[in-house]
This record gives sequence, C-alpha cells and structure tokens, in this order.
Amino acid sequence: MKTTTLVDFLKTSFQKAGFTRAVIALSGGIDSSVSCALAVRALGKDNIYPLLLPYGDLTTTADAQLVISHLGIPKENISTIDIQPFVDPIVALDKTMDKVRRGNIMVRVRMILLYDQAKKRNALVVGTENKTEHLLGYFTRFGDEASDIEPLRNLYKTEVRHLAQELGLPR
Amino acid sequence: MIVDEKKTIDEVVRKGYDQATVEKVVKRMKENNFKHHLPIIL
Repeated sequence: MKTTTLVDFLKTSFQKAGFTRAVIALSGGIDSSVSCALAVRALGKDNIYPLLLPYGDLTTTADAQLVISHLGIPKENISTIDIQPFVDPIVALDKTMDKVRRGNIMVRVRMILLYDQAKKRNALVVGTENKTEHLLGYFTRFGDEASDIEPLRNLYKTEVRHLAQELGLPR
Repeated sequence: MIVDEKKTIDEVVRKGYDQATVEKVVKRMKENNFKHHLPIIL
C-alpha cells in the first residue's frame, strides 16, 4: 500500500470526524513510529501530540525521543507519564496475578491516560496495530488496540517494516 | 494466504510451510476471533 494512500486516508478521516489534532502513544518501536510519521504527513507536525508511557525504569523513551526529533514534532507537544504508580496498586490487589494479566493491566492503564490526553487536546487517538497482530489476536481488548483510527490495520508486519524504510525512519 | 487468498491449511503446507506452524497460527486466529467484535447483545 502506498504512503500517499495511507496519508490521504488519515487526512480524509480526520476531516470527516471534524478533528485536526492527533494523540499517539509512542513507544519508539516500529509500529508506533510509522503511525506517527504518517500522522505527521497527514496533519502536520504541530498537530501531533506524542504520549510516552514508560513503566518505571523499563523504558524505551530514548527511541521515542529519537523518532520525535526526526519528525520535527515540537517539544512542547510531548507528554511523558510513568505508569508504575498506577499499575502497581492494581497488580497488588491479587496475589495470584500472572504475567499476562499484569501486561493487560499495563496497556489498559496506558489507554486511560491516552484518551485523557485526547480529551485535553481535542484530538483523535491514532492507533498502532498492524494486520499480523490483529489477525492473531496479539493485543489486549480495550488496551493497546483502543483507538479512533488505525492506519496500519491493513498492513502485515513485513509491510510495516518496508513502510518504515520508505518513510526514512531512524533504525 | 489463508486470510487473503482463502487457501486451506493443506494448500499452504503443500507450498512448503511447516504443518505444525500453520496449524498453530490458524488455531490462534480462531481462538482470538472474539476480540474483533463488539459486545454480544441479545
């Protein structure tokens, strides 16, 4: 799928919905970076509000910062919130908590914060889910899949990698 | 191939893909299909 098709899809969908701004949870990984790059092309860098949501020291914010500066998004648009103080009390409620449930809680906490940013900025949430993850069900309902628009949903992971190269994103 | 070209598991395996892997992927897709739908209502 061509970059221009995806950019036009974003542009048209935002116009139809009556929004000009986008928030996006940026991990610095390939999917969120590509989604963000497409959103920048569709809406302009000043209208993109990246949200960085690390869990304590387990953070990839350096990669996310690299993408943000590469795309020229203004520093004042960036928000960073450590999710650990919100996740830990929920996890502590149940001693039988396992890794999968903990992961689900983490992404759902991120979803709450992301939608709050969208309300604050009068923006839509741009999702980062690709077709491979979607078909396999490799996501958490109402968690990392929660969004208002999904530019990558019709692209397999391999296609997202090609698109990242085409967009000239840093490796 | 199974999704976009509507091929069967056998057809995909005949193209040289490992049977166990193909079956595992299809099983996962089926098991998680509920995630793609809105809440079930009466």
